[in-house]
Amino acid sequence: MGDDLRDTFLAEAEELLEQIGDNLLWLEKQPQDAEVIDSLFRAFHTLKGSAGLVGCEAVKVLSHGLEDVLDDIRSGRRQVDTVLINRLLSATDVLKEAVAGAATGEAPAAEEIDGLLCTLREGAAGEDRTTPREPAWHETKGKYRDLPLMPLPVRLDLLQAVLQGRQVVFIRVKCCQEIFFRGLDPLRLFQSAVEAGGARFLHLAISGEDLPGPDDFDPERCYVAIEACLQLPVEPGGLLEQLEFIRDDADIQVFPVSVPMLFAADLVTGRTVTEAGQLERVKQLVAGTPWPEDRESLTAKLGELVHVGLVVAGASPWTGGVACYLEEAILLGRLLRQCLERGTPDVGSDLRRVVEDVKNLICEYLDCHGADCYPSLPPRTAAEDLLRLFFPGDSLQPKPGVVLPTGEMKAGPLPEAAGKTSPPALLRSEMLRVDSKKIDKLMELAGELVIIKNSLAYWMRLAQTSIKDQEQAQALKEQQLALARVTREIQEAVAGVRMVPIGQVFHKFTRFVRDISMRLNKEVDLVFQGEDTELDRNVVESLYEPLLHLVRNSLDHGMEPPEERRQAGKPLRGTLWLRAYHEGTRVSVEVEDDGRGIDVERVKAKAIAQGLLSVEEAIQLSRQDALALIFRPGLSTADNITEISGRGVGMDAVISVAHGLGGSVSVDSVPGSGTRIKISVPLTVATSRVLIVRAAAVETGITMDDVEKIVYLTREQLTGMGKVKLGNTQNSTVPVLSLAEVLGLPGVEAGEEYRVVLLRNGIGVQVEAILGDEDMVIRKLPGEIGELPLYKGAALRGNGKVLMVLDSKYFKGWLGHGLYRQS
Amino acid sequence: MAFTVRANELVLSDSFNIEQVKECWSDLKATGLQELHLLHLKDLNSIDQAGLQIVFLVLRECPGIQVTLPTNTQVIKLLGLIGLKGGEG
Repeated sequence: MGDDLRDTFLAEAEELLEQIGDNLLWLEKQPQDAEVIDSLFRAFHTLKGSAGLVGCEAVKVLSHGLEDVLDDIRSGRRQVDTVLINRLLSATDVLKEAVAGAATGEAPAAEEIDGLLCTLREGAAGEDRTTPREPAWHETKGKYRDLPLMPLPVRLDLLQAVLQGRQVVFIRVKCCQEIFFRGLDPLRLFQSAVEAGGARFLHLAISGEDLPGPDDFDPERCYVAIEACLQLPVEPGGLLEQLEFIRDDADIQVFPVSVPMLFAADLVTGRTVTEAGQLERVKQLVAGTPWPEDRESLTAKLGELVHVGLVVAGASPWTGGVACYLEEAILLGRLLRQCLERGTPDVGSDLRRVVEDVKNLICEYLDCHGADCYPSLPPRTAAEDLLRLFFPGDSLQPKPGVVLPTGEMKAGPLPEAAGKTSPPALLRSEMLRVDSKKIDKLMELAGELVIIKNSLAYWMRLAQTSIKDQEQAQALKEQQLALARVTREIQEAVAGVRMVPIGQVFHKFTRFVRDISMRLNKEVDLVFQGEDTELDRNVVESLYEPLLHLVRNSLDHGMEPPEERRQAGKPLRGTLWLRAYHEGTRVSVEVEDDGRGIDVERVKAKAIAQGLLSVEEAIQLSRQDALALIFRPGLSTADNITEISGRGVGMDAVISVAHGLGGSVSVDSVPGSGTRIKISVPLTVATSRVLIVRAAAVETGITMDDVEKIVYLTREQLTGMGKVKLGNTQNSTVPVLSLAEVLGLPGVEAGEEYRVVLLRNGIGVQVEAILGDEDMVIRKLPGEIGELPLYKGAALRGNGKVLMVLDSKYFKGWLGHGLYRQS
Repeated sequence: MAFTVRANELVLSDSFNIEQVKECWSDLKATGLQELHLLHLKDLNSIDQAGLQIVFLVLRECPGIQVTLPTNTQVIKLLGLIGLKGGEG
């Protein structure tokens, strides 16, 4: 398989699997949600098709099995419950392994997949045994799989009748085997009943799927079933009365026919055309000339397509050879024509694009050959999408799996799909899938552009004095400003492409919280807030691990079991919030629970017991500092180590990742009420605003994210404490370090006024001069210099010089070191 | 007689229905279903569901069998219900 094709498959599969996971969890809550069932079916179908294209057999086989289960659910043959959801989730996990195997070559064992498929099938059989069987007359099984097997002319007639608003039903009469002994000819009786009841045959056939082999065949027993599509009279009651004669001797299934049922959900096996050359006539008609744009000419074109398609399909012997979707292409062409004639498109000015999409799909169907060929959109799904677009809110919209009992055989409008409809699949082509590495490259180039812009600004400043012509100087200045503006816009636009909603990470926890809370016998509702908040993709991805630790700890330690919550007067179900919101140029992400909160004294005791703290130090700790102890490596307040948490290795990882992203972590907890942990991170890690300062004639940078404010202090406001001073600002007293001293260089006497950069971590840094600020791309330096804890990295300035950017965390450590040296 | 089973040939005529199917099937099994090469329906004037079952089974088990279609339009319609049409079989 080609690398490009495989990469596309992997990216698509990852998205689909994420969507599948979310939808399965939603289905557990809303088992009747036909839209979600449909969406799941499509996702498995697409996965199967894509896997077939790249030759990933394990994914194909497993997706096919899962697709069958979904088909059973949507046709009412299986009921959704927690057991089934668990099985589907487990199967999806294996599917993920199989997809990963496409990249690594380590696919799950065939035995494992076979076992999984058996389990899924056993579930179906088990339900059949336990579900009480309704009387035959009320049989409601939706067995419409055979409708796409009907001859094309019949399907076209049915399509026309349904779109004209006729009441069309499919009826299947399967008599008991002994019926011939009673001297009855069910076929003749059925035909008479239909005619007497005022219904009209649109199609009639004998189905021999239960006909045994010659050895088991008893000619006096009835094996075949009668299948018919009927156009009902205005009052269908008469037909029901006429069918009474047979109700005690037959299973009768009746359900209204909808447009999508006429389309194949998958390639109809056994339908093959030998003369592929004939298809060229249809292909030429579809793709050979541009399609007209006005509706009248377009409908005429589609009429011609159907006509020619019918001729070709009629002339093609359906035996052996090349399988294709010729009939589905013709049917789709007819549906589009009917939609254009009758429908009111809810597509605004995009009608042309919808027509183009259908045209492309028809071409795809005509080119779709062989058992392993799957179109990008199955015919039935395409029909559903067209109906949604052209008949929004209309009764023509499908409700798969809904089957009316024969007692209610009114075949009226089908119920509207519940809830909001998903975006029509035909419009999905608006999305463009791009390799993230290409975006990263663009971002890198935008960063280079920033450096060049800064450099140009520097040289322009130098050159301004030597340019004599004022007009030229002004023109150059204007061009430089224009370049600066465009550079900023490019940078913002590329950064915008990299921005993704944090909901992408939040939603990964839905399954996790469900599974862990079930395992812990706790009842927990997971609530998302601000899931649309956007962050740089790299930041979002990096946040998964710390959030995982926080959520896991919250479920294991924070959340009480239902009985304990009841005794505490709390709702039995606990709530866990995942929240995100903007705070200036940063984004705060919170994990909050309404659990038992953190017992500060217990944390201190554990820290003392584990030798992380002396008793004296513990006494002097503020509540906030004591809470922060939970982030110390190795500290765990859990009495028992469980497989979920308790090893004391999670929370320090939270701090580590947050700091790596240039962020910070804080904790707030109220005993008995809950805990909230906040991670604050910059919006993007691509470029940073850097404050340029000078100390001991050396220029260095401090990222603006680290800076609280810049203050000027008088000699009186600085209290001497040896090398570390205390600065009295308007609101507080902070330790102040000399940057020159930290750098190990001789400082310059400041005179009466001291320039101090107050950092967010509560430390003041005294510098000799503030030189301004610039947007810079900070890069980690290779080699030993990159290991120095004093620096975050280096940035290239406009003047071509390298600026070392300081790491504010280092000052805190240096402060402790300084105090130690003094004592 | 509504049916005749000869070497390689099944002939159905007049009215082929539940009354004849048992005997017809017995003869067919005795002759050997796989031996059939011709299904002669030219003179068939009526058929019921039990008779159709026999035809259905013969067509399924003998995919290459040659069929002569009846002239009776009602019977042609009924045979169409099991997929038997002019030009096929």
